[in-house]
Amino acid sequence: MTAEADPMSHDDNVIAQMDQISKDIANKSPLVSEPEPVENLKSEYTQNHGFLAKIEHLTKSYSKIRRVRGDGNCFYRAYAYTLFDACKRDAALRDRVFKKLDTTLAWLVQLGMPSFTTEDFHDTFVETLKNHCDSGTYDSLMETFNNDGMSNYLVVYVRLLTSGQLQQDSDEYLPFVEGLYKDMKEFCDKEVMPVDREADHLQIKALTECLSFPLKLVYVDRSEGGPTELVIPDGSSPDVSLLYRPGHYDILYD
Amino acid sequence: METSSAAALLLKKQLIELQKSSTEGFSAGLVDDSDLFKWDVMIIGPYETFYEGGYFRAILQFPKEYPNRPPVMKFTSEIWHPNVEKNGVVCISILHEPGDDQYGYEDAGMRWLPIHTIETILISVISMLADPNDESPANVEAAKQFRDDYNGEFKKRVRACVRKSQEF
Repeated sequence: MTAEADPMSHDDNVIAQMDQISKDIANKSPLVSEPEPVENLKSEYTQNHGFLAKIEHLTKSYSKIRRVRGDGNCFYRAYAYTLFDACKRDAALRDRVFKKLDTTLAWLVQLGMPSFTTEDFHDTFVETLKNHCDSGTYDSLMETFNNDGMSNYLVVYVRLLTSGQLQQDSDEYLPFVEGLYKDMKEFCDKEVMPVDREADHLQIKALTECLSFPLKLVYVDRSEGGPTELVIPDGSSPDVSLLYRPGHYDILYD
Repeated sequence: METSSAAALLLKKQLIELQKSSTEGFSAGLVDDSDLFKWDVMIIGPYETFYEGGYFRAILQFPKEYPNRPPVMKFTSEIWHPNVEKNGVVCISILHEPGDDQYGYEDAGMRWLPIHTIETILISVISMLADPNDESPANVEAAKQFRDDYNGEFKKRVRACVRKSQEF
């Protein structure tokens, strides 16, 4: 029987092939890895003195890096991971985050997100965070974030929160994308919600404001001098740091 | 399998939801009660289009990475439309994999998002039937007829499919 004659077999083949490709990537790099020394980064840049010098600087302030898979979700996944981890340790943060999360479902639906699926992502996110804070361990957190289905569910919800904040404060954000998108809704549909879209400054600012959980971004690129550090939102005092190399985010530890 | 359990749960909730409320223009259920990832849907040809009166059946096959990846929709009823491949596969932007540009969409329209539901997919397909996009055809011959011979050959081919779809 040819592929033409059996209409489903072609799709089944394509699906099987895509599955294999995803499995290959998954085997090479976990969604969220165990921490490793920042020095390890040097081996990736032996030919690149600009980068090497910056990583040398980096090792003075940070000892460990936790790699997050570069699948277009790395910022959102890294952010959610650090949020879960921080909520477990910091009761004040936990109360604030849960208080905020309780309002987000109605808020997102009011902004026009479809209630049926939004509720599902919201409930999963809140329940998983609650379980982690109540009885989670480091190992269970790693398991949660390395389970494709669950990890991606959490990512979708932080993408929804990002979209919500951008649309709520569109007066503030729209000027940055005006001319490229007709409104903030279109920006969110194309640059925030699709599963492969990496976050840029706008998305990061919106998400950190939404959850009042700020972060420090440490930029390492080819330019001269030491790494550039940026606190988002301005003037906050974050407890978590993410490393930004062009197109990719990982988690840094002091 | 753990990977697909969130997906299975989300599909199951949609099944319950779709069974309890009546929907305009389509019906949807499982092909086999033991497989939540394969749906049998029927779309009623929208009024005041050449597709009016048709009952078009299709299979929605969800990947195990759903909702991160979209389902494939394939008509099992014969259907003649610029955005449906001759083998029945529906090519609309919201069913495209993220980053998938094989149909050369310049303005990609709204791509697959994890928040889409079976209902939003089928509503998009109904709107595709009513308003074909001949800029990026999946069936070039149908697109050409749609542009050049709308009330002639195009209509004839579509109406033939409608009649066939009524024969069950």
